[in-house]
This record gives sequence, C-alpha cells and structure tokens, in this order.
Amino acid sequence: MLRTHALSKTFGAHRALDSLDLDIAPGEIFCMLGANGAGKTTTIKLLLGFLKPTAGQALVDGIDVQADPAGARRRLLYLPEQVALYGELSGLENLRYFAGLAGVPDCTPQRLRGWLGAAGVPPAAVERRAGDYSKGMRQKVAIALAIARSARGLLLDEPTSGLDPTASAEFHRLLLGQRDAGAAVLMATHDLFRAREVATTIGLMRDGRLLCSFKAQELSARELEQLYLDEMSAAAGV
Amino acid sequence: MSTATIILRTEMLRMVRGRWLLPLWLAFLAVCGYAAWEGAAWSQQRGTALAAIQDEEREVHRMRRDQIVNELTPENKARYGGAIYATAMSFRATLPQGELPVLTAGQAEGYPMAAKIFPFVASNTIFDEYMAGMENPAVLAAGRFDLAFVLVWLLPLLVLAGSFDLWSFERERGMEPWLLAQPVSPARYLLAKAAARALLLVGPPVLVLVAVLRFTAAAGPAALLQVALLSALYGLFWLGLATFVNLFARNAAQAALGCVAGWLALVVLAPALALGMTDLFAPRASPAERTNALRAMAMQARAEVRRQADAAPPERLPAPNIPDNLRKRALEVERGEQLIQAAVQPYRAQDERRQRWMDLSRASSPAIAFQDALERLAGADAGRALRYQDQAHGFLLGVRRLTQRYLEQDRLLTAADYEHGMPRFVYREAPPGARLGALGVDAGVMALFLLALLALGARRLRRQAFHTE
Repeated sequence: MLRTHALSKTFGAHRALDSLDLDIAPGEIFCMLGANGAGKTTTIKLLLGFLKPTAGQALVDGIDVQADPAGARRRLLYLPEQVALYGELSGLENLRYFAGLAGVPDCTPQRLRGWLGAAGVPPAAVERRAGDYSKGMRQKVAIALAIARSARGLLLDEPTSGLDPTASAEFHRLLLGQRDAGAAVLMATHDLFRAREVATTIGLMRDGRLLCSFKAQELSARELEQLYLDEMSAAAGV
Repeated sequence: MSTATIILRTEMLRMVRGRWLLPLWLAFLAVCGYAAWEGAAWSQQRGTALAAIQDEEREVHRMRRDQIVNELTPENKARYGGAIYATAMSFRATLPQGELPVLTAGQAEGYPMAAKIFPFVASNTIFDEYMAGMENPAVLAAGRFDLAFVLVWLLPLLVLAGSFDLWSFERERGMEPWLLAQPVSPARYLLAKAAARALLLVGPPVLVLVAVLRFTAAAGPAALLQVALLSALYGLFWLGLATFVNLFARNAAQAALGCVAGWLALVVLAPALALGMTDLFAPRASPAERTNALRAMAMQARAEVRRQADAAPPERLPAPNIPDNLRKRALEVERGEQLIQAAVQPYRAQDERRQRWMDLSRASSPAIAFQDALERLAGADAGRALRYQDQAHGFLLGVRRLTQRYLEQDRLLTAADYEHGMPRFVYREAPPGARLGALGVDAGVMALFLLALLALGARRLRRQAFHTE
C-alpha cells in the first residue's frame, strides 16, 4: 500500500534520505525510530508529495505520488505532530470541512457525530469551539477524519508527542482500530515503548538510511531500547 | 458540493464568526456616509455658484432689454452703449457639474468653472474672475475627504485588513501541512479563500457605495454600474495583492508588512513619483510667467494698432450708429488675439505634452488609474476642464464674429436681440464612446496589474511555494 523504491532526497550537500526501500501492506503499522534528522519526516513528506525526490519513487496504493499527488493524498491521512483545527469552528464543523474536502459523501450531522464518537470525542465536546480543544482532542478529530474517509494509508509524524499517558494510550487504541480496518500505517516516533506495543514492524533510521527493520515482537522492550541506544551512540560517534 | 464551494463557505463562516467583519463594514459605511455628505455639500455649493453665475447673465440681459424698451430714446442713446452696442455684449460660460459630482472634487478646483465673455476681452483673461479665491488653500493642499479618497486610499486598507493573513496565518500556526495533505490543490485553496474575501470584503463595500451614491447623487443606473464595477475591480486587485504576498510570507507579520508596503508603494508613493516624473519630463510653465507673457503680447498689439491708427483716416462725422473708435478697438483686439495665439502655442504644446505624461502615468499604479476613473465619472477630470476651456474660447471667437457683423452693418442691438437672438454657451460633453474608452483604459490598467499578480502567483505556485521543507 505504501511503497518506496530507492527513494532519496538531498538538500544541497546534505543527504536527508538515502535510497529508502519500504513496503507497508494494508493492516500493517510500520514505526520509524530515529534521532532528529534521521529522515523520518522527510520520508513522510515525500510520500505526501510535499517534496520532490532527488531519486527513486514513492507509491501510494500503486499511484506515483509525483505524478498524481492529489490521487495519492485521496488515499492518505496525514497526522502531523500538531493537528491544527479552525478555532472558530466546532469539532463537528471542522470534521465536516475536512471530510468534505476529501470527498466523503453524506456528511450529515448524525454521521459526523458517529465518526467523532468512534474516535472518542465526547458528545458534549462535539459542538464546542475547536479553539478550546486540547491536543489530544484535536488528534481524535483527526482520527475521526481517518474513520470518515476510510483512509487506506496513515502517515503519522510524532502523533503522541506531548500527549499525557492516558491520551496517548487512547490514541494508540484508536490506531489499532484503523490497522484492523485494513489501513497501512507509517508512524515516525521517538516513543519506543508505544512503538513496540502497536507496531507490526519497526525500522531504525540514521542519517537518512534505514539501518534495519524487524518484527516488533521479535525484541523485548529492553532489547529494543538497547538496540536503539547503540545505534544512536554510533551515530553520535560515541 | 465541490471542494471550492466547501472552502468558500467555511471561510465565510470563519470570517463572520471572527467578529471583526461587522465593525469593518460599519466603519466603511460611516466614512462613506461622511465623505458622501461632504461631497454633496461641495457639489451643492458649486451648483449654487454656477446657478448664480448663470442668473447673473440672464439678469444682465434682462436689464439691458428693459433699458432699450423703457429708457432708450434717440437723444440719450450714447448713455446706453452697454445695451445697444454689440461690442458690449456680456456672456457667462459655465462648466456644468458631471453626473456624479459627489464622488470627488478631483481636479475641478484646479481649473475654472466659469468664464466672463465680452467681445473685446483678451482670450487669456476670460477665466480670471473665477480663478482666484475659489477654494480654501488648506483644502487644496491637503486634499478632500471625499468618496474618491475613501475608495482609493481606504478601500485597499479594508481589503488588506481582512485578507493580509489569508494563507500566512495557516502557515504560522502549523495548519499548512495538514491542509495540503488533503486532496486539494494549493491553487484551489487560495482561489476559494480569495473568493470568500471578495464576497465579504469587496462586495459589501461596493454595495454600500452604490447605496450612498443612490441617496446623494442623481446618477443614472449606468453611471452607478460603472462606479460599482470599477470599485469592485480595484478591490479585487488589492485582494490579489494580499494573496500574492501570502505566497511568500512565512508568517502573518511578514504578510502584513508586505501588504502595507504594497499599499504605500502603489497608493502613496506611485502618484507622487508619477507627478515627479511628469514635472521632470514635462514641466508646467509658471502661471505667472504665462500670464505676463500674454499680457505683454496684448500690450504690444495695442501699441501696434495705435501706431497704425495715427495713419488711419479720421473718425467719420457725423458718427455712424456705432462709433469708429469701437471699430479701431475691434482691430486692436483682433491683432492682439493673433499675437496671443502665437504666444499661447508653446504653452499649449507644453500643456499637451504634460497631459500625455499624466495620461501615461495612469499605467504606473492601479490607484492612479482608479482615481482617474472616479474623476471622469464625477466630471472633475482635467480632460473635461480643458475641453470646457477650449469650448469657452471657441464661444468667445463666435461672439467676436457676431460682433463683427454688427460692426460691418453698423447695427445696434434691439430688444428682440436680447429676447431671442443672443448666443448662449452650452457645454458639449465628450462623446459617450470617448468617456467609456477612457474608463476602459483605467479598468484595463487595473485588470493588467491584477493579471500580472495572478501570473506571478501561478509561477510561484508552480515553483512549489507551498514547500514545507
């Protein structure tokens, strides 16, 4: 569903991504771990068509992102670290707006409430101005959008950064729901614990290269942490 | 529902909920109302002054007719020269107000609105009486708070105030990647957002303007439609500028700075620069120098004719109906006119050259083009004033030809002449096609600026202005 072939991106002399090959199938959560500047966000931006690759190809459901970015985005839902909603609109109105942009049919208030409810937005908050929402609540509206759109691919960039443990746990529960619904998920994160918990596959990135990838359950949480620290130490030349 | 419609509706909803739109509309309504009231007062004063001048002409003719009918006898006719000699005919030539004088005083105060015409008056002095002390110099220096000022200066500020952060705000608060990740092109976002602002920031002010004009001016629907279309085009240009600036600005502060800089450059600096360039390449002769030169010519004519008069046959006795000294004066005036026309030529060429530069300067800023269009719609443009001056001069020459016929026939004026036979000055407007053409040029300038912004914006978009690197 989400594939890259020798995908590379350089900014001047800096190689941000070096020949990345990925293949994330429907129902799979691929967690990318790595220090800041490892190439995680660049990968996501290339899959969204925000950046032009220096070499290689990014494909979403078989669609070349560069050739048809709108077609690719129609199949994707992107969750940035900070989901920004229009503060003047309610959660329901925000969802109606973004669902409408994605071409979701029949955005009746009942259906919108249903999607928001499924994403864990309390009924009392649905009509409240989104300007008063917490970060966790905004993430839930984004998940509601993923549900509404039946997004086939999810690109998540540090989605739980700054969330309290309860909100983070709830978010990952919702994410698993999306995985079970058949979505292919690529998540960039620093949260080793949550990554091991929800991921199907974990990839370690450093200096724009995918160093290794493995099934999440192959390693214990402690082994994963040790591996991560070893790799990061190597990157820092320690 | 198309994505463009969804964006447009949501943007309008956001703007209405933003709680700044209504105060902005009300503020515009207040300044528009005040400016229209000022304009109406000015227009009424001017109309009253013009009516008084025309009344004066009618009163003079009535008095002279009454003198001929009631007081004139063959014995006392010498006492009534003003009434019976064609050489003493007196006329007023006035420039009527345009269809929408409340729009702007424009350049009306810089040109005469009336002329006093006698057969023997030097053509360069017919406007003198109505030139001096017509207006408070402080007002002339500072400009008027008229509708043109509100539209040319303040309408852009209103449009920019509501659209300067059209996209930069999304960028500033991190919404840009989230929006761009939706299957909607950046161009569509921008156009739909701009369309929402056009409906709420350009549409209502134009409606307010038309409503205000409807109540304060007796303008026809065609003139109102022209004002509305030109104002809308001008507003759209500023919306285009705000959209264009947003393609570059990284945050709302930068966008605000860019928009204000654009406003300063096009509304404040460009007219001053255009005038400076015109002064540099087509300077205006000093009015005092011009007046002195023409007066010198008139004096030269008088001296020449007096020299010739010494060699001329003596005045006839008994005197004909019209004394010979008036015929001599007619010769003097004719010679004087020849000299004046010769002396005027370089100034006229200078004026025409300057006028061409001024016309060209319209292309340097949409604000200048729009001001020009408003002045044309108000009938307060320099072209109309100069056209009036030409027609007044033509009327003077016609009066002289008529006088010449009276002199040749040695005929006195009669009561019937005063009742039916006097010529009357009627200002002839430029053909409608010419006015529409000039307005079309102004509209074309604004449209070209807008298209240039769109083209540059499209180029910027193609070069990935919406990168998130």
